[in-house]
Amino acid sequence: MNLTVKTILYYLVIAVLVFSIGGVVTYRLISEEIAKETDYYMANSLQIIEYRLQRAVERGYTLENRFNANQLQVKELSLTPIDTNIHFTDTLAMHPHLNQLEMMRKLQVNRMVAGKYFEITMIDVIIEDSDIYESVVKIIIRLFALFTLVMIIGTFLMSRSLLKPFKETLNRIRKFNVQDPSPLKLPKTSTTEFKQLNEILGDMAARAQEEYHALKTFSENASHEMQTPIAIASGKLDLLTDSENLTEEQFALVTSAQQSLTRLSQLGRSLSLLTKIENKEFGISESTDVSDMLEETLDNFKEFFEMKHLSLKTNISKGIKVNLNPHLGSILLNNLLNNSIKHNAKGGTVEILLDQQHLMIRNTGEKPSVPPRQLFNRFEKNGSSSDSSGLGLAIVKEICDLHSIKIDYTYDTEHQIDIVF
Amino acid sequence: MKLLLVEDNKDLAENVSQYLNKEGHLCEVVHSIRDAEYKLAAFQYDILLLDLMLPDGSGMEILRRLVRDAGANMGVIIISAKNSLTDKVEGLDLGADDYLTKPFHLSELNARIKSIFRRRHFEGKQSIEFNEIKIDPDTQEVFVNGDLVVLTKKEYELLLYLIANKNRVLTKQTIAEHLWGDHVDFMDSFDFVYQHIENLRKKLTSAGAEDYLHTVYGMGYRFKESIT
Repeated sequence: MNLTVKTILYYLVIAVLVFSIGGVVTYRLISEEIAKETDYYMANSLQIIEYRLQRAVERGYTLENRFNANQLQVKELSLTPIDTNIHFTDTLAMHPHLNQLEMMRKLQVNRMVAGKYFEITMIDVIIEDSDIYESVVKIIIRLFALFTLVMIIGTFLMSRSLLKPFKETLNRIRKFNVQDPSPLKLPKTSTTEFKQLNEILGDMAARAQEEYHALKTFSENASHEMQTPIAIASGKLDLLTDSENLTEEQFALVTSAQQSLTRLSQLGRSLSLLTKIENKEFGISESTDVSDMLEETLDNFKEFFEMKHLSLKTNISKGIKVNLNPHLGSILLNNLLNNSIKHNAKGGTVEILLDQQHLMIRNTGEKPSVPPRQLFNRFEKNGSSSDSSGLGLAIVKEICDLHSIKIDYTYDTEHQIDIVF
Repeated sequence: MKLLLVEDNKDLAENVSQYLNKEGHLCEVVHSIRDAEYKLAAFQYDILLLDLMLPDGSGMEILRRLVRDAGANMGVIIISAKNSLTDKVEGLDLGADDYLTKPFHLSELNARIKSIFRRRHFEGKQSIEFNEIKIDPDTQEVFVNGDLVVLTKKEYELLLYLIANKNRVLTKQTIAEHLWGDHVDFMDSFDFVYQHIENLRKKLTSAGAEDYLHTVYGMGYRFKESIT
């Protein structure tokens, strides 16, 4: 639910409360005022009646005809009344026009007029509570409807202009990219809250960019820095190999140390490559001819196939173009072909198929000791082979993920890699 | 051959200079761009070995200045820990002859120095001779006693590498890395080195050459005359 609708709902709840309390109060006030006015009017009439009564008594008119009507009764009292206060009561009486019993106001008082005592009773029509109630409800409902309409239109118009800088900020953040070194520019606003928001967001973005940059340079530098000491050690070993008086054992030790150094250096490079792919330092929007690339890679590997007596079966369609960074693409093919040779048995087979949507590499070899898909994880190796870094397939997976290409690795009787572009 | 090595790491610089001096070259070492420019202004060198990450800036600056005052017929090999394609391309574009990634084998560096020296000074026209073996780098042809021996591309590269590093022990590892570069994470590649060596040996001896390929402890090879 958006902010505008929420605001409107809150306003509506408040309005319902205010209008219902207001309705009750209005109803009360009106009915009190009407009762007061009725009583006041009747008390006023009483004075006129008293005056007329006095004149009638003084002139000796008969009272019956003159005063006793539906709504007025004057009765002469024989006893001296004690109570001379005006009493108002509500009573049911016949309505003069409607011909039915209605709630009416009754005034009763004992008065001495021209030396005689009279009981005067007056009945008057009052406005009924239910009528007042109805009117109040009608008024309140109309007011409420008017208020709601104006409020909804008003809120929509207001929020459009009030939230404009906020929406603009949202847009800019959405487009923000940590890798882009240019600072996040947020719109100017006079609203304090949005000013604060923009300030905080600006700071956060700057920090994120800084940290991203630091992380990027760190992982890159770390693997570069590693290479120099390796180069020193490797150079020393080269000098040692070059000296004349090495025994066979010593020579074997030096050679083995050399191999480990090479492995260490390759490990550093692989990790650095993984970081670079993760950091999206490679563009992916190039259309690359995978067919050519595959043929070229196969050519590089030709002698390895021959030397390991592997029979190679290929079915490569011409001119297959895929959005793929060419550098990463050749790493991907290299790693996969490398695996198909390395983990193959002497005299085995390799089958390669490339068509419009699909690249399949299938080769003989021992069943992997872990579920094949697990080998996409970093440092996950098949068995305990020490001549494998455990990063080759992780790099392949990372490249596929970067280009949103699907890859799967299965083993039935042979190893099979399927790539769907 | 006179070389200038610009490398801020003293240990590494010492390795290289020691190896190259032993090879009979004269290798001077400086550790910063400032010193390098001073040396380059004062003296003449055949080959410049240039590290990129130096304490007072990037080695690329030296390259750019060298391009400006072109005329110096000096070979340049970049030696860098950065295995980045962009750096390689930039370096080679600026006129470097080769780009070597750390760590590298000293024998590899040696072979590349020789090849660049040949290219620079004789435009690749000078043949390489080792007793009865003659190599024409221009046509990539090999002759034994004047007769052409047909070698595969890899065998040719191998022979060139062995002769460049003659009299030195080369391990299978070093040879494999020279021949296959980054593809060499097979253990199998050692068997492949063996196969290539044996094929080369057979082709050369059957053409009448002496067998100069000596196996060292079954793990390395040395190319030298038997009577030494």
